[in-house]
Amino acid sequence: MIQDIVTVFIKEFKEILQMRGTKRSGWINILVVIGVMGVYMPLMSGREWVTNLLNPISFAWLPFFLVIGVVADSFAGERERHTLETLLASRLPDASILLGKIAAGVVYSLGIGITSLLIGGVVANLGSLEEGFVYYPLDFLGILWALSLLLALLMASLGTLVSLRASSVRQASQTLSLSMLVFWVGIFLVTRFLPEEARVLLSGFFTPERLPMFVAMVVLGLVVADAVLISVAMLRFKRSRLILD
Amino acid sequence: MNDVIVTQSLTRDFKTVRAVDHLTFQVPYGTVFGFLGPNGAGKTTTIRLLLGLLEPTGGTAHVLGFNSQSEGHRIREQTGALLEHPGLYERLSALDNLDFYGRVYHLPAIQRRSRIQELLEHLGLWERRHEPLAGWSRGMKQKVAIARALLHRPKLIFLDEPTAGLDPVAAVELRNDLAQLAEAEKVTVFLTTHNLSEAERLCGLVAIIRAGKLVAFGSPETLRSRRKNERVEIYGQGLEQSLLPWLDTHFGVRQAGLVNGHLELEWPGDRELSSLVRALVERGVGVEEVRRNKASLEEVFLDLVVDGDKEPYTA
Repeated sequence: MIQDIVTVFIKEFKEILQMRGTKRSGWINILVVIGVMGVYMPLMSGREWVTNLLNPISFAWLPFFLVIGVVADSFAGERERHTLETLLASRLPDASILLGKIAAGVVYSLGIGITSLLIGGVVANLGSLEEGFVYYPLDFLGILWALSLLLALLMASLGTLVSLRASSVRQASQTLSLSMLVFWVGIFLVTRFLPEEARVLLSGFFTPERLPMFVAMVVLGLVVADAVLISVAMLRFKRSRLILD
Repeated sequence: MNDVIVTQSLTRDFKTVRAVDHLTFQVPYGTVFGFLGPNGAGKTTTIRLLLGLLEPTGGTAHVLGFNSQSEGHRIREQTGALLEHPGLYERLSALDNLDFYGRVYHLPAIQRRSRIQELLEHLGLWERRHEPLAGWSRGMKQKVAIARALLHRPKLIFLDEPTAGLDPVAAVELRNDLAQLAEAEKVTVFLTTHNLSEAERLCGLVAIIRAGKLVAFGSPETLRSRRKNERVEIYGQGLEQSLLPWLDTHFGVRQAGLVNGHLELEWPGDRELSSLVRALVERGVGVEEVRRNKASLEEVFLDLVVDGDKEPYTA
């Protein structure tokens, strides 16, 4: 099982790297993202990048967004390029195909996110080395990586689920982008039109003492959501349906 | 057990359409089996059923002794397939594609490398192994797909119209490669094709299906010999258009015509041809040469598929 997942993962990763034509353009694409998120932005922020932890917290979302571009291609791309039926006619078990594809998307996006974060921590110090070297607190890094992983997994599972049914990569991408739009507009509307009493109640809840409990609740919620989405994707993975679609 | 494939009344419906209709046949080990039929006859659906990718509506299929419905994964472990499309990852090189499928079938690294080299060298593609497949011709891609199907030395391979869409030169080349590889690998081949001469050349056993139903089964030789009429060509002087109604009146020959100055006709296999030659001579025709041609598989196919009212062959 693990060997099969790794086999699919390696193939998917090679395909992701060559998504833009050649391996070189794939690496350039990665370096551009790391250049912006891991060099330019920390350089502009300076030491505040490492001391004010709200900045790097936004990195938890980076893999979440990066993964959309690759998971939309996972099944819809195979269907579009007529490689799906041959893959399904091989000995690979259903779970290996599905988990290998999800893993490739997660590792790709998480890899870029973590690399950018780690480099950013160093780059942020460059302008003020005389004041001593400061870096993110280790517990903060641990929580951030866990959140990044769970968010990337959430999007990868959702994206794979959408890609399973989509007839083309474009359709899968559009569906995912639309669901993102609905999600963010929803959050905006809730925060914008939340009654004053509810705001006061919430701000009373989010105290520094309650932060660990809040993080634990978020992590737990994401774990459950990931597990549910992966299970649904497994249930919807039917060779006969995939072929006839 | 001598049969690699055994189907019993295999049936598959799609809503109101019956794609495969009570198919019953057996394919012995080591055979190149041709599965012939027009577009939409149910060939691809049959392959999908045999690979366990679709569930039958009725009947059963056993492939390599495994039930296609409950043991599809065991079938897919021990077979190779080149389906409707080459199914290759065009962003990747030939080497990456074959390496991926080598890993899929758990070939150890050393064995995988040597096997890929062996197949690509045989197909004349080893020098180009690092190039992405996107720029390759369809014929070359089909060769890589055949290499992929044979990579793990399966006992049975399914080839769904492997030469479709190829130019004649590429088709002949691929056919030769296929014949050599099938012989060398001692693999049973389940081949669907539109190309009747291809089937005639490669296959030891053929089945013809029409609208999901089996209408003929046997060796190409047997099927040809069961044809009721034989094609006769008569060359000579004095062959004119006026002979055609005369042939109909006196010999009941309705399918006849003058082609490039010679006479071509369908002659009932159970009648003496000498009576026709004698009568022609008596009518003043200077007969110089008479050729009796065995029916081709193509003619048998057309009889069964185009003119569906004719009696089916059951060889």
